[in-house]
Amino acid sequence: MTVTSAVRRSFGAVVLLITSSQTLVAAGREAPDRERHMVRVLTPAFRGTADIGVRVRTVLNLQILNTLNVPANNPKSEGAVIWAGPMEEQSHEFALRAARSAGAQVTLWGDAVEYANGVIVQAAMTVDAQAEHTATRALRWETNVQYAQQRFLFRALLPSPRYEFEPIVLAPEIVRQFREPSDLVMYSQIDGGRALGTVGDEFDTLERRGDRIRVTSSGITGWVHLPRLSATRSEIVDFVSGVVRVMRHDWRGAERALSAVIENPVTPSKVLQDAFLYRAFARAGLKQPCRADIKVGRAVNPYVPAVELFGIVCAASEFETARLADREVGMATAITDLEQIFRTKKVPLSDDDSTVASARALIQTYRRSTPKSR
Amino acid sequence: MTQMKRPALAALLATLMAGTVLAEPARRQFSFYHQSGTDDQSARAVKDFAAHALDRLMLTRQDLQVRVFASSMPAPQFHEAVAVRNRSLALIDVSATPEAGGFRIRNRLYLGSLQGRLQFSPVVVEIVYSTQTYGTTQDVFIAVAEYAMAVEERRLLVDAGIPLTVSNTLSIRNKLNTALYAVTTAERRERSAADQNLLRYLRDLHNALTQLLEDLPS
Repeated sequence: MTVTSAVRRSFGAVVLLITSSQTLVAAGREAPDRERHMVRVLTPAFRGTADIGVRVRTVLNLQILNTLNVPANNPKSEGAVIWAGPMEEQSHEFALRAARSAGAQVTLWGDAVEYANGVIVQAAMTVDAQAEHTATRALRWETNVQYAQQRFLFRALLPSPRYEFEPIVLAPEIVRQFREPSDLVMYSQIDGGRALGTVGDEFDTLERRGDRIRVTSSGITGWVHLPRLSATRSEIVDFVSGVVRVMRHDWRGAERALSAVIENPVTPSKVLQDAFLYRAFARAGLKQPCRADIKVGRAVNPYVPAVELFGIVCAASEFETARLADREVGMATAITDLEQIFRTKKVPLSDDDSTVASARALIQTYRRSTPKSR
Repeated sequence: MTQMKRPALAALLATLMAGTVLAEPARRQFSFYHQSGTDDQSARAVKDFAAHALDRLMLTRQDLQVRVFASSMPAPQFHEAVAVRNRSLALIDVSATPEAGGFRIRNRLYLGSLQGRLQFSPVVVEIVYSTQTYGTTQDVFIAVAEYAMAVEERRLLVDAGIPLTVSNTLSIRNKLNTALYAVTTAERRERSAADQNLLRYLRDLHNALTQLLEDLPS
């Protein structure tokens, strides 16, 4: 396995390329402090007929890179997309092992299959929820509430480490193009011009405008036009981008990306629900109300424990925000929200969970100290 | 030796068994079945459909196997003679009829004792064989498979006399939620479809899943 040393910072995104047609092997290296803050997305080549899987991965990668930039509130945060050969086994378990081998926190993987009259791309995403890494810990929504000389700790872990996305039906012209042996072409101008060459295995991104990216590859600099894979817009890039932005505490960027997921009519239910939960998290980070997103997200499927835990942390976050602003009405509303969760829950919430215990304790403490609010 | 009274012994056994989680069967099967002797083109459509109907489910479960059979035996007899013996979760009787330059695939899903609270038996789902319906196909089969596995797991606990608790029904809850996500995705995707039959079966599945989730200990 060869790892290129030619990397370059670009909009806070560093492209690290592994050139190999073989499956991933353990990297096993000490991570310096800088790397512990770096968010890495591993993208093995999609399995599929001819080169279709490889081409699809390339396009999705460039689309993801196209959305990453340095968050203003976390300028030290860096991101990287790691390319690799296809996985030996198409499963979340293997994707998790592959991510750990490569030092990545997220794996985007999948299949391109020939079916009926065309080609379908089925993508999946695996997050390493157990990784002791700054980026993964950033997916945990934590809030401390100080009230009545007591401290209450609330925490919700990421709602799910595994996702399967809406299948992409490749447009026929894309299938034809991807079956050709040529790679992505670089043009002399943003809107076309002369074809200068093709994007090789190594490249640096220099600039982006919409679906056009200016890259340098093999000594040539030109514009790449990212093809539209399908007639309908996929939620994959926006969701991956949204989760990565949450990891980097890029709240503004996360809110934008996750809003695109929510507004996309083809987003599957599980992805939709978690987009609401993550957007609630991002909005709290922006000191905006989060309860509306929790309410709508819960309606997608109220039988998932993670939804109620996110609801608890959201209410706690709003309580603390109101307390700091000396807004008694906001505090009372947040307590009412907590009580509502326990009253209407459709999932088990055990007091063995410290967040659940904190919620009950905060309700009790508040009610004791403000009897007139009953 | 201390002698325990019967009620106390029963209570002790119940406590011990409440934490019991039965081991899941090593490998389960989905059996697709089509009538032998059909013409080449429709047979090809049926086989391609069956080979891909569980693509997405196979990404998340390595304990499932798909088998495709061709037989002249009627489906219910085949179900009893082969599928049940092979521990199939479901037997899907697949047939293709020509439609507008392509094929419409009719799936009759026999769940046998795993029917549970589903109103319709067999569950009949007709889907046009094309890339545009691939997503709905995946969702329908994921929903049915996870539903059947949840019903089976619940039944094993009940048949063994094990009280249902929060901890020993966690796996059941996860399966039912996976199925519910798939059903609601398909319902949203197909809500403006002309074929109301598919929506009717999805609603039936949705109701059955919701009832089972509501009945779980919380």
